Amino acid sequence: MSGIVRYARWQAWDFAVDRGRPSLVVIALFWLQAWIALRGAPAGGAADGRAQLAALVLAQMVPLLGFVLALFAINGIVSADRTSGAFRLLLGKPVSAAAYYGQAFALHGLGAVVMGAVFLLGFALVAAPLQPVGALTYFALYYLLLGGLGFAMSTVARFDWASTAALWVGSIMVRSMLPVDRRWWSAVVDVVLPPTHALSAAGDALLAGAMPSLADAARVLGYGALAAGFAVVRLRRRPFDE
Amino acid sequence: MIALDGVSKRYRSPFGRTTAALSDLDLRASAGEVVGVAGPNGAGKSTLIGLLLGFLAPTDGSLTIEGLPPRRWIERHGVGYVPEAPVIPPRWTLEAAVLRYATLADVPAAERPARRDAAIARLGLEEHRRKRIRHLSKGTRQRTALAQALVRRERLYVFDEPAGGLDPLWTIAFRETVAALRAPDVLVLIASHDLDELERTADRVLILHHGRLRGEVHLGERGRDGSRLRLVMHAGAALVPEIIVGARQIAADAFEVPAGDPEALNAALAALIARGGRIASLESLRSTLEQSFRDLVREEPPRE
Repeated sequence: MSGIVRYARWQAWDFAVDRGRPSLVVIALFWLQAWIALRGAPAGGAADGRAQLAALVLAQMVPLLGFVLALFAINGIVSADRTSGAFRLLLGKPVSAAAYYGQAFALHGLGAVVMGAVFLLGFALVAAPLQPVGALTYFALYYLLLGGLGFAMSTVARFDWASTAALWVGSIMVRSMLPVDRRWWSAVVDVVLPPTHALSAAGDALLAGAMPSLADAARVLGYGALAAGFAVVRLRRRPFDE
Repeated sequence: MIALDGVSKRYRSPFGRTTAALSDLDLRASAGEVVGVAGPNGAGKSTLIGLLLGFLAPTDGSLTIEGLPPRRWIERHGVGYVPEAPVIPPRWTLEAAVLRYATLADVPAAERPARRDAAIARLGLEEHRRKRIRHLSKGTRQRTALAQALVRRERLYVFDEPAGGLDPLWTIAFRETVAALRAPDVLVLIASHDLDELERTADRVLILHHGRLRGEVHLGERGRDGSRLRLVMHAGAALVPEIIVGARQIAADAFEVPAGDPEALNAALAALIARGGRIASLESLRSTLEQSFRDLVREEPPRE
């Protein structure tokens, strides 16, 4: 086992302290919101009103929280070390930037999903019991797509979280304006922009307890993997301080 | 070990303006040497180190360490590196920082705590070991950076202004540390403004100015032991080469003379005075490097 693999526990600890704690604050706010929305809702009976309302609230919360958790997890993953100069001592050791930050990307993804699980556990306690697999998968897909994009942005820009969020929101807006009849340029724009619509469709299916369509899942996974791959190749090929 | 052939580095601003940080640099450095790099601000020292560590890429020319591109060599072997202003995440404690760097350096788990403790003890950091980096003084942070560089035996050490934040006692300790690192298979590279420090630690010093290698001063034993004197005559300068063996004229009335045995020196000076020579001053000529530095960089005014 090499030094970089052994270093994973320190990276996991950094995630917990630097990103896990603020994530927990946001999660607590979501719990509070869920508790407010569901207080007084009747439980039990053939049509369990409370469970139905909880499912609705969860469907509203998971995409929003997925966005926040992914952004918290990926923010400054490369750019913070580059800006501060902390990379100098780290990369003086026998370790490649691609391996170091690639491992951080993977661990932060795991951390984001764990944070999602914490949210779901609390939600089950304050709102209603739920089946967590679909929502957890949604959190994972969110991280793969938005996190992959953020990882790529972090290798090229300093204000990576802002540029990632802007690209994400901009993508949603541009997609809503694309013409219905498929012209060649709108097909290009559709492929180039992050597949936010495919993520939403896959997420809706997962939260409903169904399997997402293969096309949606493939687009999300493919785009996220391509973005993360771009980041790794850039870290591998381009001098870190250029 | 290190080979630079025609290395240039130019920076381009977003508006297209180009600044040459290094121009056409040829350099060889071998294992077993301690090589200094001196130069005024903006001479290109930090750029040279950035290139050596693979954090920057040369615009022209080639740079290799044992035939490999720097980054690939470092990813394989590691380097003991202390930057000019070391940045360690402020939340980490000192002992955790050294342990983390030891982990990344692939120090075996069983040896890690002992190596950490030895490095901390060597740099006199015991009383600070549980403090967070943000609570340490500049000098203590500098020593922490040195500790992480010493946590494992490396074959290449790169120190960029290593004594910058150190007090005189730790500057002396740094000198001893460099002496202890000397080994036939180890290359130590020190970039510094401090010519006195380089003169005491390096075998040779490269002098950079405006991104070009202006010269190289081989210090050897003469430079390091401070065994030459500068003799300035008030009268009878012509007598000096005749009476003092090994005197070298460096100006019309000034000579570099070997200090040698004090009895012989006093006898020679007495003979000089007896024959009508008059001494204006006699001082230790420690800084051969300083004089060379002045000679090599003075022909051009500073850029700023």
